[in-house]
Amino acid sequence: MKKLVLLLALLLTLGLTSAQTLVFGSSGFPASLDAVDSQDGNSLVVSGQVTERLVDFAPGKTDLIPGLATSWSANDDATVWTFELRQGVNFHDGTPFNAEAAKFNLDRWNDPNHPYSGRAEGKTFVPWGWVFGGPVGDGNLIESVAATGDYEIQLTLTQPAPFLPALFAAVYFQFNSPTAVMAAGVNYGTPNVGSVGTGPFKFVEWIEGERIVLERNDDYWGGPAGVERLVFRGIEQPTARLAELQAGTIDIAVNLTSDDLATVQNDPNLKAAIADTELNVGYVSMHQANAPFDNVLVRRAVAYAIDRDAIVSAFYEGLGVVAQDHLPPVLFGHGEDWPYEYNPEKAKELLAEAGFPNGFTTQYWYMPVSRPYFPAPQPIAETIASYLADVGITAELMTEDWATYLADYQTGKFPMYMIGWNADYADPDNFLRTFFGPSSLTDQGWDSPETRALIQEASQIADQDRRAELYAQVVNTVADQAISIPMAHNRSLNATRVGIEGWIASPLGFSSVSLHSVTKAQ
Amino acid sequence: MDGTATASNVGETTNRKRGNDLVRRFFRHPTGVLGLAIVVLLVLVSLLAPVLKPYDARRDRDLRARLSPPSAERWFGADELGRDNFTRVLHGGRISLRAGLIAVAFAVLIGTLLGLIAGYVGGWLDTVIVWVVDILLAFPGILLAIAIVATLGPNLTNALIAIAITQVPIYTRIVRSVVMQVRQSEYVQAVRALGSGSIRVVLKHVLPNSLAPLIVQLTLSIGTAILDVAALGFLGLGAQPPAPEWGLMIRDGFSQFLRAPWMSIFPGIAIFLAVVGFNLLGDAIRDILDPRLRNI
Repeated sequence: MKKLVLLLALLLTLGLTSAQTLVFGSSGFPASLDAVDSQDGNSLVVSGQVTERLVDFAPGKTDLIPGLATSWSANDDATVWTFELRQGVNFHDGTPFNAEAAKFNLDRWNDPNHPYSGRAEGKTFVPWGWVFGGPVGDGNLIESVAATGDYEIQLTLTQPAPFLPALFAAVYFQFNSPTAVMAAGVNYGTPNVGSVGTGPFKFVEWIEGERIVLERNDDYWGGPAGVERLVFRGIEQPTARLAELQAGTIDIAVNLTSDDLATVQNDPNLKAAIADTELNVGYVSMHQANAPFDNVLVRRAVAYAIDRDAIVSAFYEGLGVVAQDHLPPVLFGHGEDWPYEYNPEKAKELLAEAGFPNGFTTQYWYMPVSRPYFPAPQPIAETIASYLADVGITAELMTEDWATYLADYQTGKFPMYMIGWNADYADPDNFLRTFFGPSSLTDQGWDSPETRALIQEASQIADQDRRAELYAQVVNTVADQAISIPMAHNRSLNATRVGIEGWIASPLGFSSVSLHSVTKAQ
Repeated sequence: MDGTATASNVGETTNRKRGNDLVRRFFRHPTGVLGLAIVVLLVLVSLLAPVLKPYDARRDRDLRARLSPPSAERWFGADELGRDNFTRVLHGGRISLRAGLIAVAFAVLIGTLLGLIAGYVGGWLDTVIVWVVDILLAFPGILLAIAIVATLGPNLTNALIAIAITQVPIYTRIVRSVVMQVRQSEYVQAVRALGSGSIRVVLKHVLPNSLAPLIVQLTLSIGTAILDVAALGFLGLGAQPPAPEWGLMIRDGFSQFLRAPWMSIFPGIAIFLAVVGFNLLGDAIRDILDPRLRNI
C-alpha cells in the first residue's frame, strides 16, 4: 500500500513536470550561447532566455522598453549616453548585476585587448562590428565605457548616435556573468559550459545534436516564468517541424514554409502565430564587377524583366508584400515606389540599346536555405531565371553551402544573387547601412561616396523628418540606378499547439521573443 | 590462305546459328522480354519526346497552375512553378538515358583499354593498374562519385565523369581476367608462334572472348548509372535546376511531399522502371550467355 502511494505520488510528480515542460522547435541547434559571438536566430533564441539585454522590445512590437537598464539619457549632441541599471538583480551564479558587471561585458566586446575577449582564441563578436562598427579602432562607435555609479554607466561615443538605445535592443547584446566568463574563458558558451545570465531561465544541459534544457529561475526580477522547463530542439526541415508539431512532440515550431499556412489553419490542434508586420527584405542584386552588370541599362532591363507581383503572390501565400524599396513598409525613409513595372518588351529594348539585342549568358546564385524573406529560394530562383530567359538572358542557376555563400556574395563571385536581411533593430539605418553603407562597397561593387555620406549623415541626426529625407534620397538613387532589386517583405509562419499561450511573434523574428510569459495548459 | 578463309566461313555460319539460338532462347525468357520491353519503351519515348511535347525547361513557368494535382489536363500534376510534371518526366528520360549510356560508354572504353594493357603487357604496369583498380573498388561507388563531383563542382557533366570513373575498374577487371585466360590458352600460343602480332591477337581473340561478360555487365551498368545520376541529382550534385532530371525532381518534391506527393512519386516510378528494365535485360542476357545455365 505504501509502495502504491509512493508510485502514485511519483507518477503525479512526473505528470506535473511533463506538463510544465515546453518544447521549442527551432530550425537548427545553436552555434554558441555566448550571444555576441553568435549571429544566428537558433543560437540567440536559446541564449536570450538565459541572458538579457539593457533594452528590450515590447512584445510583438518594435517599441523600446527597459531591460537590464531602467532608463537612459544623452547629452545634447548624443555623443555621451548614460544608462541607469536595474537594481537588486543577480546573475544565476549569485554574481550581482551592477555597473562593474555591465562595464565588464561592454569592454569585453569593445576592447580588442580585453583579457577575456577571447579574440585571440577565435571569438569574433561579428554582430558588434555590424552594429557598432567593431571594437575600438578605425570607425567604431563606442570610444569608452565608464562606471559612473554603482548602478550607472556612461558611454562616450566617437560620433553622435541619437538612436543608441535601439542598437542595444538588438538581440545579440546579452549580458553574461563576469564570474562565469572569467572561469570558462574561451569555452564560455560551448555545450559543456553553457551561459550564465540574469534571465527567466537557467542553463541546465546541452546535449549536442539532441536538445538543450533550461529550467525556471525562481528569483527572476520580473517574476517566475510560466513554465518550469524549456527544451530546445533543432529540426532542420520545415516539413519535419510541422509534422512534429502535429504529432505533439514539440509545442512551438518557428519558420514554417508559407505554403503550410492552410495546413496549420485547418488543424484543430494548432494555432498560427504570425507577426502583424516583420522587418525584413529579400532582394536580388547584380554585382558590377561582372560585365555587363556595370551597365545601368542592363540592370534596368533585368528589373523590368521580372514580374515581382506574380512571384510574391505565388510563393508568399498572402503573408508577404511586394517591396517598393529596401525598407520594410512600417519604417520611415521611403522614397518613390519601385519604378520598374513588369515589362518584358521594355527590357528587350533596353538590352538592345545596351548592345545585347540577343541577350547574354550569366550566372544566378540562389540561397541553399530558406529564410523568412525568401521562403522558397530555389523555385523563386527558377522563376526569376525563366523571366530572364523570356528576354534573352540565360541565367545558369548556381548554389553552394550557406556559410560559403554568405562569404562569397560580398566578393563579386556572383554576377546575380539573392539575399536578404532580418532587422536587428527597427531603424532604416539597420537596412540601408547594411546594404549600401560605408562598409558594404563589396556587396554590389557600386562605388557611390555620395550615398555612403548620406547614410552616415542620417545616422547622426536626431530629427526624424530630416533623416527620412536623406534616406529617401538614398532609396531613390538605388532605384534609379537599379543597383539591387527589392523583391518582398515577408512574415514568417510560426505555429504553436493549442493550449500554449503568450508566445507573440515579433516583427524582429522569432529569436527576439522571450518565453518568460508563455504558459502551457495541462 | 585458303585454309584461313574456310575456317572463317565456317565460323560465320556457326556464329549465325548460335545467334539465332540465343535470340530464340532470349524470347523464351519472360523477365528478359519484360526488361527489353521497358528499355525499348524508354528509348522510344526519349527519342520521340521532343516531337510529342516540345519543351524548354529554361522558360517553362505557369505560376497559376502551381502544385496542381494530377488531372486529365496534367496527368502527373504540376510542380512548384506550375510546370507540367508529365512533360518533365518524359524529357527526364532523355537526360537519364543519355547520361547512363554516355557514362557507361566511357567506362567500357577506358576500362577495356586498361584491362587489355594490364593483362597483355603485364609486369609493373599490370601491378600499378590492378593496384589503382583495387583502391577504386574499395570505395562504395556512389561515395566515390560524390567525392569526385565535390572536387570537380556540381553539374551533370561532372556527374557523368564521376560515374564513369566509378565503373572503369569493373570493366578493367573483367577484360583483364579474360586476357589472362586467353593468353595462356594453346591456340593463342599457336597463333603467336605463327607470327601474329599482339594487336591482331587482341582484336581477333581476346576481345571476342570478352564480349559476352562485357555485354552483360554493360546492360547492368546502365541501370546503375541511371540510378547514380538520379542519386547525385537528388543530392544537388548532378543536374542543376531547372533541368527535368528525375533525381532533381524528387528532391524538388521533397519539401512539398505532404502537399504535392505527385512531384516526387512520378519521377520515382520512372527511375524505378528504367533501372528494373535494364537489370532484367542484363540478367536475361547473362542467363542465356552463361553455358553453365544452359537448359536450366
